[in-house]
Amino acid sequence: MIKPYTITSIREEPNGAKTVFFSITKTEEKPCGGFKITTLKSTVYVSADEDIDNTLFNSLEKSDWI
Amino acid sequence: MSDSLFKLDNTRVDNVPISEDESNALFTKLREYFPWVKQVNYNGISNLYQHEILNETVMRTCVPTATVEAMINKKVASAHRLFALDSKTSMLYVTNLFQDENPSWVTDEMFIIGVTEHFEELNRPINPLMLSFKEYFFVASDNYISSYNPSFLENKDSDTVFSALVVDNEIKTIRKYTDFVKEGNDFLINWQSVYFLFAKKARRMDLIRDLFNKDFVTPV
Repeated sequence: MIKPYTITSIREEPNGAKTVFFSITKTEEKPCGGFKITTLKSTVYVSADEDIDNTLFNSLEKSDWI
Repeated sequence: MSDSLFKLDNTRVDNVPISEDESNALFTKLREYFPWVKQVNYNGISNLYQHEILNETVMRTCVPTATVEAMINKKVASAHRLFALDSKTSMLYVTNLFQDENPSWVTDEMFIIGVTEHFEELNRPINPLMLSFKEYFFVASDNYISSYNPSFLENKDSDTVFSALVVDNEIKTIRKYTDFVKEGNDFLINWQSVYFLFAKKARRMDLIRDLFNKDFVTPV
């Protein structure tokens, strides 16, 4: 099973939530040829009752990264 | 990357670059079955065809290698996503330089240059059959190719390669790939250069020597 992003680290928060550090890369073909490669490195806050992958995947899908 | 695939029954399947207008209609069709697909994330898409192993209608897209390399943390020669329309399943697969021991079905009349690696993706349903086969890309003597389909030798040139779909160490079918006819220079032009590039990157110059020791391989 592969994921479209890479989780680089997870920080446990005092309230049971997690701060997830991740990166994701996407590539777009430019109109005049060649490619534009963009890598996003960011974090997502996942509350104690949420699943990390579901939260991160849904967040990236809504923001057009996936 | 764009190419034309010929199945053993001579069905031709074009993999159209997104620069071609035809690709828009193909993505519209694909999104009827897979609404999550975003055209901007691909650089090519195929016509619909019947897959030889899955026995259902599929479409194949080209995924930029940089995107996939970040996902699997290794360099690849090419990357694709295969969509099975009837079962609404998909898989990501990459093609790598072939560096393993030859499978038992390999004869002296062929030389394997690449092999696919298949992946199930998070939140994307997969047809288990997608993980049951591998596609081996190879070059071979005319004699070997004609034993499967003599017409595969028509218009064979320096950008032509063949592949075998293999299940449980048994060849199920053979395909022919050549450059997409509307394109100018493309990835598949002169497969020897491409193979040389990837073998050199992998520090496997011995593979290049083995290749040119085959009497059916003439340096371009």
